[in-house]
Amino acid sequence: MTDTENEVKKMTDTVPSSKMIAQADFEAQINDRKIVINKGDDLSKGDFPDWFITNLKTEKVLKG
Amino acid sequence: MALPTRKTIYGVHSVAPYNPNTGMPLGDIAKVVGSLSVSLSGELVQLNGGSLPYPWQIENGLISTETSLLLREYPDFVYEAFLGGNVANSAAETGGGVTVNGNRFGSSVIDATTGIASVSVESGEEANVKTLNLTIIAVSATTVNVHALSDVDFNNGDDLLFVDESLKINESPITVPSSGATVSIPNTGLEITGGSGTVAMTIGDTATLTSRAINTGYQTVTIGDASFQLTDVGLIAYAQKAGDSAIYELDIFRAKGAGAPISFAEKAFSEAEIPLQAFYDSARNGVMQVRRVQNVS
Repeated sequence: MTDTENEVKKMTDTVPSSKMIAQADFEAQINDRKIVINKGDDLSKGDFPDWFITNLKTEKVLKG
Repeated sequence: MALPTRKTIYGVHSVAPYNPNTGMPLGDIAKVVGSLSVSLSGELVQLNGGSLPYPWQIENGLISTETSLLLREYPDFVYEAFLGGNVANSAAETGGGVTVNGNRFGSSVIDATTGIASVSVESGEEANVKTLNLTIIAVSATTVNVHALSDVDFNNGDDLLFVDESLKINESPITVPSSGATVSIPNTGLEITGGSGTVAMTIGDTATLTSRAINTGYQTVTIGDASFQLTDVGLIAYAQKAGDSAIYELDIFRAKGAGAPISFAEKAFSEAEIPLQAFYDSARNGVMQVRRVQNVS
């Protein structure tokens, strides 16, 4: 891998996909888990179930 | 020859209603009876005239059959015969139960595809189910708040608390899952199953449900529905069995009753004072019958 390729890979590893950046504040709870999302949060490592991601898209918290 | 035993009436033992056409009991007997009193008061019609201050003639007028039944219990027949209620008694629920009444305002909250598909008792949480009356309101396209109309059973199992004066019981809006997944309504023993598709409710729409803790049976009575009907009843009342073993019975052949008050009063049992009027029963050729048996002790 060239230096340029390494640099690109590094950027994609550290910069989250824009599709997982919260576009708005949102608060909800799943069972006993309280979830507070602030605009700009990276939700890619949120460990959310798939259906919750779908819900966040419905709520326009996530793009998609 | 000695005088006969005095024919007294003392106290009340029970009142049993029956179908005046068949004689069959209406399904229960009232034992917590305050009183049964039949007026049977008559009126006398006087003929007056001229200067004579006394009646010229007197004849009998009407005799009132107004009857008052005072109960301190609410057996099924009170609802059915005097309030036209539809009584439904259900069997014990060893794991509690839920009845989703459906959408109350709007139509998006209870929806098999895009709303809440069902609310049920969460497996393993049966002991935390409380007897509640809940209203669910959509506060966003995918979340709801849950409000409880009383805290009477909040300490049954895991404690439940009101979050604020709106009677909300969830801290944050509860996410209604898409794709048929489930989430808990915390501390209620209940869980929501989301619709099979993508959830998209209308903000402000509501639905209602009732939950029942583990029970030995439950009853629902709908009063005043479109099929409302009050039917004639017969009543057999017994006075308290006397010390000399005499039994006094009053059989009202046919009567119509209407109304049975229900009251919630501080530190007091509710009393249902039921007004009735007895009337002539052609099959038995009478209005009522008294029967007194001097049992041998």
